[in-house]
Amino acid sequence: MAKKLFLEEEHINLGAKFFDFAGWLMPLQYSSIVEEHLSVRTHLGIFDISHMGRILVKGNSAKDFLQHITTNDINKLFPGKAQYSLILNYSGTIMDDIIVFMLNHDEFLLVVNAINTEKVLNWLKQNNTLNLEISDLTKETILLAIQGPKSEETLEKYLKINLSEIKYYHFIKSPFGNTELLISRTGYTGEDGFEILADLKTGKKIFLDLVYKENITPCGLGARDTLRIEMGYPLYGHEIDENTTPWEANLAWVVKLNKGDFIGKKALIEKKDKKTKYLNGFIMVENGIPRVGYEVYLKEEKIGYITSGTFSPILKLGIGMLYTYIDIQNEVFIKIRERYLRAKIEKPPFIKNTSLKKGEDKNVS
Amino acid sequence: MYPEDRKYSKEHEWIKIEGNIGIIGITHYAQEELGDIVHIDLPELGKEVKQKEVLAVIESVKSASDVYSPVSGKVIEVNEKLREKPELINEDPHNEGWIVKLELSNPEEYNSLLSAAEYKNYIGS
Repeated sequence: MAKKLFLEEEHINLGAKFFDFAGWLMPLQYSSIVEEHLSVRTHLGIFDISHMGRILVKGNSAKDFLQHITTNDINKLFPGKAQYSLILNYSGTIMDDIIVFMLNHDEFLLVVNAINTEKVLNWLKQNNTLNLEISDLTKETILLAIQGPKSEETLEKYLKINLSEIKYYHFIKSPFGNTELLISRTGYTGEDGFEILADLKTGKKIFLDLVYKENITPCGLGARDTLRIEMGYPLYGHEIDENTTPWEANLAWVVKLNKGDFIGKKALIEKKDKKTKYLNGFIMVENGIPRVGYEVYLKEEKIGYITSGTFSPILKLGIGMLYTYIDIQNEVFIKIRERYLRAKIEKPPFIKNTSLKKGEDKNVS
Repeated sequence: MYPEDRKYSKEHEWIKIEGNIGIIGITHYAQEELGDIVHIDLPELGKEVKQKEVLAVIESVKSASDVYSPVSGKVIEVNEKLREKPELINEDPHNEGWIVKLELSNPEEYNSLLSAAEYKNYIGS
């Protein structure tokens, strides 16, 4: 039985079509994937992403613990700073890609993929030899993503606070009524935007206000997927999984080998020059829509497979990401039904010059 | 919503008969379920299909779906406009968004299809 969002009723009232995603019954779309997608690229959209796992790690040694569990350098964090990172297993392959929020010197929030929430929770508890408090906040909170070039302006007006000082991958805690919101400048769409963590009652009020009073377009996971593919962002279970090293997934920038020991480091060093597959973006040259699992060919030879593929509502053609077993740079053929259609290898993002201002961080997830 | 001048299949295609030619498309219900249609693979002229064989493939943003032929016959015309404007199927599924014209090889099959009333009942509308 799929888990239900706290706001399910509200999504039904907005005409959402639902589908099963990572054990959750999630809105796929409200009006149309293309309309929602374009709304985020040109204006504004709101996503209920409360399926994402939220795990609180608290205690004096929380920082050391997370430095050992994750691949990025926790020492770069300070209260109010967030960081994209990876959790590896001992084989050096990816258990999850996550965002770490440093709340206090002894308190961190991890936002993890819905499909991995249980796995990560168990992994943290299993490795918790330092008596840390590890708690799952997923069902006690709502996580909303407000994305698009108008997000700052619209949220400032609604929340009556200044958001321009929050830089990319930074966050603030802001009072709201008698509760507190966590507002971060993060997202998964390639546009400027914010993610808001709130308690259930407050989250519901904010969602309803933003949709009905501020007229923000509700967007489903359909548009979230096409938006992230246009930017070439990886999705767990597609570009990354436990058969993939960070080297193979082009995520070397999140791995800090000089920070001290961490789980998976030894295997990672051994695997550094032993990639078994290469991740690339591609754009269809011939007319066709690539899909996950389709085979990739070079001349007669099968050389790989597609991990994510879709129709790009902006470019109006097929785009995606693929793994090949040999390093390639030019042109490949995608097998779509019984035809072999030309595609050219291209480095994502496929859409340049979006409203996202990266600042000091690279953007992923 | 569902014109009575034609018949419907349980796979959500419609067919309208003119002489021994059948004009085929997908229903309003089907296009709503599919969402934004962004591409279509049309059959080649002269292709012979049997009832319930794949006639075309429609791609929405989220997935590829087969269009099954409601009757047997030979493809004599395809809606060329759909190559550039596949969204015509969303906009006007029962008219401008027609997909294929077939020369029927077994006109009896038409009689076994659903009437508009039966189809509406079938989809629960």
